[in-house]
Amino acid sequence: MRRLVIGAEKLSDVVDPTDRSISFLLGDGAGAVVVGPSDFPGISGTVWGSDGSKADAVGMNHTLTEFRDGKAPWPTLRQEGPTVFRWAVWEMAKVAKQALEQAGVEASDLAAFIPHQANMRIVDEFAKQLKLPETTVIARDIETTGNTSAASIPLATHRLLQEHPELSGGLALQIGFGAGLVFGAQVVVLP
Amino acid sequence: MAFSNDEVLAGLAELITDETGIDASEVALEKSFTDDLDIDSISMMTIVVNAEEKFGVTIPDDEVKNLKTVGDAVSFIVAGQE
Repeated sequence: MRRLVIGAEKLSDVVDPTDRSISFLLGDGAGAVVVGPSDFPGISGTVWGSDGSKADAVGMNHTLTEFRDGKAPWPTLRQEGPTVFRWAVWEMAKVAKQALEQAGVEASDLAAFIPHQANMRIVDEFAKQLKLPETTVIARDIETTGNTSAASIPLATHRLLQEHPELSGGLALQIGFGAGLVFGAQVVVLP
Repeated sequence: MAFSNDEVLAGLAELITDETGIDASEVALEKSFTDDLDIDSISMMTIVVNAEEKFGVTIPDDEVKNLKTVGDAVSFIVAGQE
């Protein structure tokens, strides 16, 4: 039995173009993968969870019902950038290490590191915290695609394999994180 | 161990240099992080996390925006040690 897993976002519908702290970071996108049976484990156990204490760090600035009732303008996405940055780098580095441990691999075993493409500064600092060797290719799809939320990891994985087909069959650490704040990390064998 | 004002200033200057390349001599108490040193919010957060480790203090996220000058940060760190 195969499964189709899709991540799709149309963030442009909920962006305030006058909000300099976020508007130019975000993009629209969609990506999908087919997950199916395999002779070997191709997806490690997932390390996932949430930190509700930071529920206000990322979210919509109004509700749709407030908009409907004329009490607020069209809701848009906002975030406390520095709070998200700190959490995404230092807390997610711990989650990434747990995922590696769960999978029984070391950072040096990774052919690729594919974090959610939230922000290039997060990707850079995150990679530094994980002490990834130079041989690990780091996905930096955000440079041209922007932060496409749920689509970012499939899009980044696809581009990474297009640009580095030799990585097919290698191990990749994928880690997603976002509003909630929620997170999920796993090691996969790249298709 | 408690660091003195001068030690915190010197230690903070080192962290700022590591993160931004700004010369330690530029890091004076009256300097504003954003207006004088041109340090953005992301670099500021990296410096804050490293300062927490270096000085053994806690600097909550919502406190960071109150640290407008180098002097504000030094005072907060010194006070946080007591």
